[in-house]
Amino acid sequence: MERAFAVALRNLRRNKRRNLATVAAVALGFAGLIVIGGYGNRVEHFLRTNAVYLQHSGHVTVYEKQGLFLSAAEPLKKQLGPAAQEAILGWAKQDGRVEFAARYLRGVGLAGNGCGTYPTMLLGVEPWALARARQHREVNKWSHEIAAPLRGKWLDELPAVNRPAMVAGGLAKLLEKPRVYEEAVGLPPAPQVLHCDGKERTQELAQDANVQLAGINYDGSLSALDTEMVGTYHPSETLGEDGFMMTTLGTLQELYATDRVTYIGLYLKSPLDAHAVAQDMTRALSDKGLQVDALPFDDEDSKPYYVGTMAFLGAVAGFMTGLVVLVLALTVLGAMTLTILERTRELGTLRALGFPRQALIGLVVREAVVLSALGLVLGTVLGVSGCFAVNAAGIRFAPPGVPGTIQLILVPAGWICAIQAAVVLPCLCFAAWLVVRAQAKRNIVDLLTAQTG
Amino acid sequence: MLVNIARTAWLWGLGEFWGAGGGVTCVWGSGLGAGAMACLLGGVVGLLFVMSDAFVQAVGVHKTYRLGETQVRALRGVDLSLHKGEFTALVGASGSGKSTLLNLLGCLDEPDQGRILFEGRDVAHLNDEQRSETRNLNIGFIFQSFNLVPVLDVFENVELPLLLHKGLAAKDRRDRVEQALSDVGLGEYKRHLPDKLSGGQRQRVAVARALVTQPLLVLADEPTANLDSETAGRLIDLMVDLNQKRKVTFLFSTHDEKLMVRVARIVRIRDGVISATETA
Repeated sequence: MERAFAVALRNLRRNKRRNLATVAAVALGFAGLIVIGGYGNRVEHFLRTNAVYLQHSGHVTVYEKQGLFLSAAEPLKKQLGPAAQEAILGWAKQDGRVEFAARYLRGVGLAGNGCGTYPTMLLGVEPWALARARQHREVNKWSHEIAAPLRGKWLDELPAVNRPAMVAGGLAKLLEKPRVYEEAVGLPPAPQVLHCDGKERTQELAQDANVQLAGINYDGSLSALDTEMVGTYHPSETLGEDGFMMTTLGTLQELYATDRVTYIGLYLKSPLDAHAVAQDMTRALSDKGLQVDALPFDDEDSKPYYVGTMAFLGAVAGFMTGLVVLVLALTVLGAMTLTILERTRELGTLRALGFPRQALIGLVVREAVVLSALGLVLGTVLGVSGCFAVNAAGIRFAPPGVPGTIQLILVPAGWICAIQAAVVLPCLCFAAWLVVRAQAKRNIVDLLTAQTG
Repeated sequence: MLVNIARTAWLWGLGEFWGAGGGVTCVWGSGLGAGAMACLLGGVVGLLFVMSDAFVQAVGVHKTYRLGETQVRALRGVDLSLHKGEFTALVGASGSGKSTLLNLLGCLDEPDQGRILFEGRDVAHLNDEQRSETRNLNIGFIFQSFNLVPVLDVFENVELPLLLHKGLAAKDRRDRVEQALSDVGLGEYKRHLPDKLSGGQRQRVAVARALVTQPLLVLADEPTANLDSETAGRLIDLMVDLNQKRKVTFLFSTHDEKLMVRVARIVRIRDGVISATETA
């Protein structure tokens, strides 16, 4: 009906206090949803950036078939050999969706300081790929706090250093190495034979940044080499804090005496392409007789922490959203019930003037639309302001599974707000429809002679 | 011969009006005898209906309300015809069934028994949409307590029923509202809200709203009950004037004997039945 929205808007002036209270309730509820959405958006980006760039997996991680589970046990069979590497990198280079691709070698070994050794997870990276990943705009935007080294520099920043290594902060403490490479330069060299049981131990160990790596290479013999700890870092997984080391791919391949890599990470221009790229690559390589597992970043086996956390957050956010929407719908239901009860005779008059049931329902639902829309607009302003206020407060917290603290930042996204509004608005209108539908079904004479309204 | 007359009558008048002829079902091929007589009876009554110019009819209407355990028989077999251009008062004491009859004639309610025929169509056969359209296009209502929408100004209140006229251009709509307000002498008050008007003015707004769709019939349920006698008199003058100039058919209920001298036809109702019909 023409001008129905104008009439609806006019009707809202009737009981200003009640309608204001309803608008305020809708606004507060929706502001809460925006804050939840802002938190979810931030956490998702943070975890994804961690999983993709700071854990050096890429959006798609390409293993030899079953390499995810068996590459450590059967490295000669389940790691990618030179031919496979060349094929994968070649495919990635010609695909426009891939920003860059890099090779990685994982392994286990012992990190030693001359007095003791500690079991260590090792990652070999190509320095240029490390530089691109840690300086990526996504990392700068979402995870810059944990992308910085704790001390020293990233290994790609000191190309002149022979066998540079980054040591997890906890492991560096275990190794009693308080100084990184550049801090130790110029100090008198530590003695050839360390006084591991004497009081000089601490000072002697701190005089250089040398960390020895030992491992079993792929032909079964023991291998060892010296690295220089150019920096310490958060390995972006709490469990790795006391046992992670990162060095160059060349260093690790030298340790294991291999030219193989565990996986190749494909970094995409858009994360939305991850599944398509994984499928396309698998198919293309299969056509060439190469069987690989290309796992997108949201694959549960490849990134259980990311997938598990997002599933949990999704369930919590969904539950809270449902709760808020329910409360808002009940609020609107209550307000519209009162409004309609007060206007029973007026509804009867409109019916008498020739308004069919549907037109009457439409009129009242439009009021709910106007009321809800006002609440949503106000709620958006409140929610976004609330997010800005929280961000400005600089609150820091320790997220589960991530070492150290990060700032609590809420980043509401337009598309999330739009989806939330698209969920809330119909629910509120449905509540109003439920109320007016019952009233519109009543006999017109009963409406006209009602005591209320 | 009888059959032919009956057929002609049926075709002329019965058609949809067959119910007006006593509800006799005319079955072709029933032959002579009782069937033909039934057709003749129905046809004659249908023909009379057409010739009488009655466009609204209540035929054997019964209505009973249930108030908890109690049953109130508001109407007990009412027959009433309204003719175009009539100015009729429905007179009776409180509870006599006036409002119930108005509600039924206005397609606001349905009888338990009997038929309401509007331009020959049994309104019981109309769905909600059609009945709403019938009310909107053909019937204007004036209520005892005005029933104006408080948040809409005078102009908008009068405009309300026209908003449902999909084919009506905005300018034509405005013109019709202006004309209706001018007819009731409220042209200067169009931007006033109802609560800024006197009772008489409000009722004139209601009259304008009832007339703006140019209905065939205006039903008014005790339109003067909430007005003082002077204002009530002026309202009756207005309604008489509109009836005479525009030939609008009015049927209004009242138990105010002073108003009845202005009325051409008085239908008296008592205990749910029409007790007398008087013509001035």
